[in-house]
Amino acid sequence: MQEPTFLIMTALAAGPQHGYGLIQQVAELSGGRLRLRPGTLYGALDRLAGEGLVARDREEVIDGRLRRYYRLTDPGADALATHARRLRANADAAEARLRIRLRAATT
Amino acid sequence: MSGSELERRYRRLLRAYPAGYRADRGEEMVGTLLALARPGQRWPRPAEAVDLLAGGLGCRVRAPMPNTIRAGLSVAGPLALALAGALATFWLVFYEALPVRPFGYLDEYEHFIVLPSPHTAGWPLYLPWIAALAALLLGLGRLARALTGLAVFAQLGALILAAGTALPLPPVYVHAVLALFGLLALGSPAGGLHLPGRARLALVFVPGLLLGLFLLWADNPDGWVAIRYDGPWRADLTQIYQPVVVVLGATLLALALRHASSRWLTAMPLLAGPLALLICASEGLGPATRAAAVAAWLVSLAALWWLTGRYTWLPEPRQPAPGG
Repeated sequence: MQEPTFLIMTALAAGPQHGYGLIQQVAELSGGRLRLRPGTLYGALDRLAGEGLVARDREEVIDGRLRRYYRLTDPGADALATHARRLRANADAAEARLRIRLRAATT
Repeated sequence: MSGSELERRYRRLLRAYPAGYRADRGEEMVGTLLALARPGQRWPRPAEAVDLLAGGLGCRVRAPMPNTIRAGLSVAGPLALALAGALATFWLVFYEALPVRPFGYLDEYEHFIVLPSPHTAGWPLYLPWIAALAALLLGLGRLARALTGLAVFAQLGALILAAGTALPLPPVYVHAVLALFGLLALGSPAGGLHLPGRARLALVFVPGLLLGLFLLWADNPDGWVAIRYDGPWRADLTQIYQPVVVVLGATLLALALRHASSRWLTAMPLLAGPLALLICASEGLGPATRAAAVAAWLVSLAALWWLTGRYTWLPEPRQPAPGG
């Protein structure tokens, strides 16, 4: 799972979001490092919907503009949890090795 | 107003996406783009333009497969295998097994010129196609698919060999046409290649009947070899090919119109591609026939393009719960 996909799913984990909200949340989650553009975002949403990980939720019209909300499906939440565990395990392993390196450098 | 100008420019960029996608997603995307725009912005930023153009292109490339073309392949697949099997049988019998080709041409003195059969080393390549056709006619869909896979694999290998070596193999277009039909057959949805019982019966009896009539008409007292030289059956290629293509095309079109479904209408351009290639590569056909074949294929491709733009891209939104 690539980082933008991971962050889109993370943004949806707390509740349904519309496209603009997703772009804002992904920027916030990545500390401003990742700014999704609409073409990329909607391409990712299509792909995730095709895999059954994301689904359309509801629509509303604000100031004459259509907003469509997306939500994480149950399989999507499972996939996100699995990936998060994998990332955590990788991060733990990297930190453990770095501690060994640090100890070796100081002795 | 700068807002409406910007909106118009975004909409122009969104034309990179297929019409069906725009109908479904256009308003939503415009809303998101405008929400992201800076105050007073009049033009899309270059990075946005590149992003939308790339998104539209990606959408066009990956989108048609899930619905329209996949549905078309369920019809085109078995028919493509039937055509490949028939062509392989024809080429094996008339270009490899018999001493001369069935079609020649009239020279300027009105003499009928008979062409010798090429007798290439590629004749075993036709056997898996014929076996796959037999499996299709017997209703053994999974076996037909497996044999088609084998035939395509061998044919693609031969295509590379024919293009790069001096081995006496059939011409490149023969491999290309068979491989294209085979790929169409393999592209049909999983679970094997199946034709309805009536279609299978028609595929056995119609060519059998035609062959029987041909043999009666050929009046060959001296057997197969003798009839090739002065029998009344001999034909100029153009005289035979055009009626065959017209009858085949009319049959496919009639089937498509009878079923009047996007599956059938999508199947036609898929099958027309290899057929157009076959017509263009065949010897003895005039430029008008070749041009007509390519034009018919392009028209059907345009129709396919139009069809693939019209479908729902994502599941419908969830209906709100009553009272919720």
